[in-house]
Amino acid sequence: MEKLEIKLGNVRILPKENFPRFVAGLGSFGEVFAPLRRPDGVRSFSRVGKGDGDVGAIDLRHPRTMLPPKKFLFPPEMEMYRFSADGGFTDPPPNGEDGPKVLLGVHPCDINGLLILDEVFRRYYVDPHYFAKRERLVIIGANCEPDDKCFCKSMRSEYVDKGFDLFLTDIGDAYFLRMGTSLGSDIVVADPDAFRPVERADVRVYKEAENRRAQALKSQVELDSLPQILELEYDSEVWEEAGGRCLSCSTCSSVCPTCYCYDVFDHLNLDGASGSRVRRWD
Amino acid sequence: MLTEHDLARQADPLRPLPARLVASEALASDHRLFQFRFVDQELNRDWSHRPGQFVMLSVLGTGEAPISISSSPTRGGVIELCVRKAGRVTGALYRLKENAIVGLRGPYGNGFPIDQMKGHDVVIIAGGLGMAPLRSLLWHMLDNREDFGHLALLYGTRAPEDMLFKQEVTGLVERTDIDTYLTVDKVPEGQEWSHDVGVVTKLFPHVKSRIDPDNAYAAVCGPPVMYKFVLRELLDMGFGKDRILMSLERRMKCGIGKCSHCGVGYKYTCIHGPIFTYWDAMNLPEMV
Repeated sequence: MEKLEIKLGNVRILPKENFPRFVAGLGSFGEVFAPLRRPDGVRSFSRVGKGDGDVGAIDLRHPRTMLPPKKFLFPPEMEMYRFSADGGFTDPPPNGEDGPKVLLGVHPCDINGLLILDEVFRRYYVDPHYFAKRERLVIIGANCEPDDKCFCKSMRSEYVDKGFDLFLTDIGDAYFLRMGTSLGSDIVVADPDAFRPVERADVRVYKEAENRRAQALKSQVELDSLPQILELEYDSEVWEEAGGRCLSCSTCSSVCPTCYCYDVFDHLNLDGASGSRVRRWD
Repeated sequence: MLTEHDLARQADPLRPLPARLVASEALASDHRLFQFRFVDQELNRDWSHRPGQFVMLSVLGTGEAPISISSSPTRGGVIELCVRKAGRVTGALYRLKENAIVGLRGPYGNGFPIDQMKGHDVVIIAGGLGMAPLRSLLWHMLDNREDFGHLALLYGTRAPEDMLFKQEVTGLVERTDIDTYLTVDKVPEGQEWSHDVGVVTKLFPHVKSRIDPDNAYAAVCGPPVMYKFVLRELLDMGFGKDRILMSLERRMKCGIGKCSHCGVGYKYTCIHGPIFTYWDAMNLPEMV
């Protein structure tokens, strides 16, 4: 993993009183989605409306959202093509969901999940359906408040140095902001007065905050020999036991940030001569 | 010149391209050979494949199915698929008339390691419909005969009428640049059959003395029950486990290593196969 290196040109301070203004500014880069506190306590990546209520409900330090951000790139069900009797498979018409989106408040674990998904959809053959959405997705990461179930340390996923356009770390009355891409820089340049330069004292507070978080990540999972164990225990009765409890509800593939299996279906229209091909989480 | 649309099509490996059914003929009671040509002439001219690869075939509204390519790249211009009527897609294909349009994309999979096989003896062992993917290799080698050492074809089916490409393979028996031996489990009464009778392993003694296992490859495809016996024969002859090539089938959905339907262990049949060495297959659970 690359070492943390903060070039001071790539960092800014976003005072918290400017946060609503920052969120409003993101609107010109795409439709904004963020983890909103719902009345039932669940956090879910939801569209941030123009009103103050939604901005106030943004919860950047939430433990985990119900569903990972995977759904924005690899939707549970997606129309791939329209087909007709002449054999042509054409792109479905735009459905209003294809515009650029800004995902605000993506945690390092979820950013790492997206980087793995990127690799899956890039390797062997590039999947253009995935990357059409990926290229229109602005990622604004945010540091989390780990709970006792977070095992990021074992996965080396508690920190990211790529996979985001901007990254916000809570340092008390402000956010320490890292720019990961030129697009991230564009967002800052679009409203330069919302930010101030980083001072030495900010760096100290940032390091303290990171250390505190690192210490809060207590859960450790032994992973080193896991691939080999899985292979050697292929015939273990554990799998039968686990399989016996499975209801095939597919919740696991919904909540997994990297599960990418899918199935493909052709739906024929009533005319019997045209239809659409869809892919669906499997 | 390529339009933007053409470029987009090329950039999308999941988009089937229109192909015309130009001809089809019955090969055996439940098998037909379908010949296709891409509607786009330029694509038809440029498209090529390696023996052992497969395509994804779409028939209007019924979905997609992986089908191995039976034609040899040395005889381009037309893509030949030998198809058994087995499900929705193939059922719909059987109902199509000449000139009907289907969708094709590919070719996918690793294919046979032709470059490594060059200069070696090659024995092709086919059982039943296993001939479908092996025919591509067979004609590729015959059309590049000087690239290979001794060639042999051992092909067995249940009965004479089950033999795929029957005229073609019986025609090979006369050729001196390949040893061709055919066998059937049983000859129905009243039928003429001038070749062997018995399982395919019965043909091994014919070629044993003419193949040098230290310098040979075996290409095998057939029903699961066949592998056990054929593999034992080949190993007894002294074939290396990495010199036995098998064409294996799984239910591919995407063909490009994404959907995971054809995953076996940590390999995808559509990417790392469908041609596996016996060594690969031994180390993959439930591969054979």
